[in-house]
Amino acid sequence: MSSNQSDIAPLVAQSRTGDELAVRRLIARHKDLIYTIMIRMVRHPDIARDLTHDTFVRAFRRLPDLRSDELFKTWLCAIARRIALDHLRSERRKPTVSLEETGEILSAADPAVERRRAIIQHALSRLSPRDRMLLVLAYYQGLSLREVALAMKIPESNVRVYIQRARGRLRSLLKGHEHEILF
Amino acid sequence: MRFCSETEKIPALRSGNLTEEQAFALRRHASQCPVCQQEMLIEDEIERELARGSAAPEIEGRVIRELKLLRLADTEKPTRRFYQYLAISALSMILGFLIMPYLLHFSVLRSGPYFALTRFVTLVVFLKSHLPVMFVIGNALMAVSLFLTYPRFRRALLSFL
Repeated sequence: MSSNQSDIAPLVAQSRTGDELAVRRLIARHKDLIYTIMIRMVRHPDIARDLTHDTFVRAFRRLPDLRSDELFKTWLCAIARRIALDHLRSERRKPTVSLEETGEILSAADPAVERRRAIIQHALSRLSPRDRMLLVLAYYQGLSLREVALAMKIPESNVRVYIQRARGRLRSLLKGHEHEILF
Repeated sequence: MRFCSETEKIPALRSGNLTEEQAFALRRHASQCPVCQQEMLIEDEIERELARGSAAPEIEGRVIRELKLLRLADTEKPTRRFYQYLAISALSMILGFLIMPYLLHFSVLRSGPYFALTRFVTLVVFLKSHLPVMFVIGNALMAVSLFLTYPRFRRALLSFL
């Protein structure tokens, strides 16, 4: 975990009083996480950037609703999840842009690595938004099971099973690409 | 690719859903099974890709600017809302004075203001004599209008029910 929870709580407390520097620091610490969630969910850098912005605006507007300052990160992820799902729901009928077209997050030096990333990203994009969100939260920055459960609003006891199923579905979407992934 | 039925257990192993004994047995098997070894490598690659983040662009300034604008709008809101309520109240009064004579079957212009006043007094007396009924109807109407217009009240009522 890159951001220490004990560092976060005082920053959240300062943000409640309108401290601009604290707000800046909180955004700087969490923006990569939220942007990664968004880019995995919507697959478009510009939209991901706008949704990341919306997430922080909504979070700081609703800061009085946050019960415990230690839960800021989880709470932020829950807001990001809601915003991403709302966006996907509103954009359901519009065509999606492939990651190859966006060309931003697949900038590896080695073409083989780039190809591997593209295959896994493509399979990931074919998962349901819920599975995608679950995998991003569980593996990017490695949130704890409790944090994933709180962000996803699912029972903590079921998180492992849901992650296993999501991984199983991702793996089945990668069937036939084993050679490209490994070599 | 050759087949090994044990590969199906690998997602469970990687998600921490196997007991220690099961995990140990699967790892021991995988150390000797090329199919499972390959599957483990694929799972490694998937995990590596899932753990890879994307660097976010600079958004701090934009967020803070928008928060400031929204805060400014919040401070202006109560005044605007006050004038909105005032306008709605004035409109309701005007409508009330236009509709009430129609409901009581008289015209203020034709009958004169004294007659209109007596009819209103009659109405007030009528309402007063049926106070409990009016109280219930009034509260019910207020609850319905709050339910329709005020989301926080709606949520509270639904959670209470």
